[in-house]
Amino acid sequence: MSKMACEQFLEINDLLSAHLDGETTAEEEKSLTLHLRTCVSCVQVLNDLKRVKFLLKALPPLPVPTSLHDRVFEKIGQKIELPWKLRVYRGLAATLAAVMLFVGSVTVFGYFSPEPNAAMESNVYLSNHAYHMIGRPLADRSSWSYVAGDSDFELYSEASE
Amino acid sequence: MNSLDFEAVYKEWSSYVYSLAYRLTGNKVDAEDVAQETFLRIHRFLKDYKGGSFKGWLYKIVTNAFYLKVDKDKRGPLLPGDENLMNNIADRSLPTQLEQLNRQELEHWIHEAIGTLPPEFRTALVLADLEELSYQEISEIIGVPIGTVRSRISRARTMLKGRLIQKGDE
Repeated sequence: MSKMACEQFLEINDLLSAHLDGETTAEEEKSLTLHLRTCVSCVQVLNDLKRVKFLLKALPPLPVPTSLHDRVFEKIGQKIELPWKLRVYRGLAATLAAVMLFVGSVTVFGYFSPEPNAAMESNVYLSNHAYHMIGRPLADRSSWSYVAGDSDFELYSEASE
Repeated sequence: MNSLDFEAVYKEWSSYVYSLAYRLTGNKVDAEDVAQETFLRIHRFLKDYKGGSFKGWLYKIVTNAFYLKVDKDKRGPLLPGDENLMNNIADRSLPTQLEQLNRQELEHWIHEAIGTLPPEFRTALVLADLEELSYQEISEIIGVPIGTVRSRISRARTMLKGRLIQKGDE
């Protein structure tokens, strides 16, 4: 390659770039090899292009976002056909989940909800002692202590009786 | 085409399509748009696929979707100074600190630099260096002569070098 090739910057650059990719003809390759033996600047350009190519090739692969799958299949209005075994497992899992949800809700609301049971116990207690409270209001000390929750008041009411 | 065919194509090629879309667009949001458009076209035209390189057929759809996105967003013209960029950096080498950057920084630099290239140059470069396609394959995908492919790749590499030098000067 002549000195003139270096001055035609774009052309020599194209040639060096194609050389990196193995996309030169045999004739081009031969003359380029001869030129590179004597041209320091072209060797420098070639090394830089090699570094650029290497940097690009070193970029890691990218994970596909799951949102892409949803967007594509939603757009074409197509549901994915699952294998029959997977469909059966998925059906069983859904049924099991529904049963567990039902049992769980009964357990939680049946045993651990304090307000309805407390209110019921309170009503039973008061109705059992209502009779005594009507006839002798202060006779039923336990009802006072139950309502007031105060042992001193219970003792006081006993003394006053 | 039945649904299974399309699903099989999606499963096998989604990573290639998304990866190429990301390298071309330079960001996740646009990459997902391009990848989605690509698969919608595949879904529509898979029955018309006549054989030959499926990868080439697929990449042609990705690049077309990318160009469509560029046109739609009115982006990607030559940036000011691009015409003179090659002459300005002709006698300079890449910054030495490139190899000293950590992996994330380096990826950021490169993606940023690729993103500044005009779309047609970027496409040729990405197909050559990241997808490792031959000039003949690239020529068929983007529909230009091999000589044009060769020139675009060369100019894209030089521009990318210029961008990296500029970045190193900041």
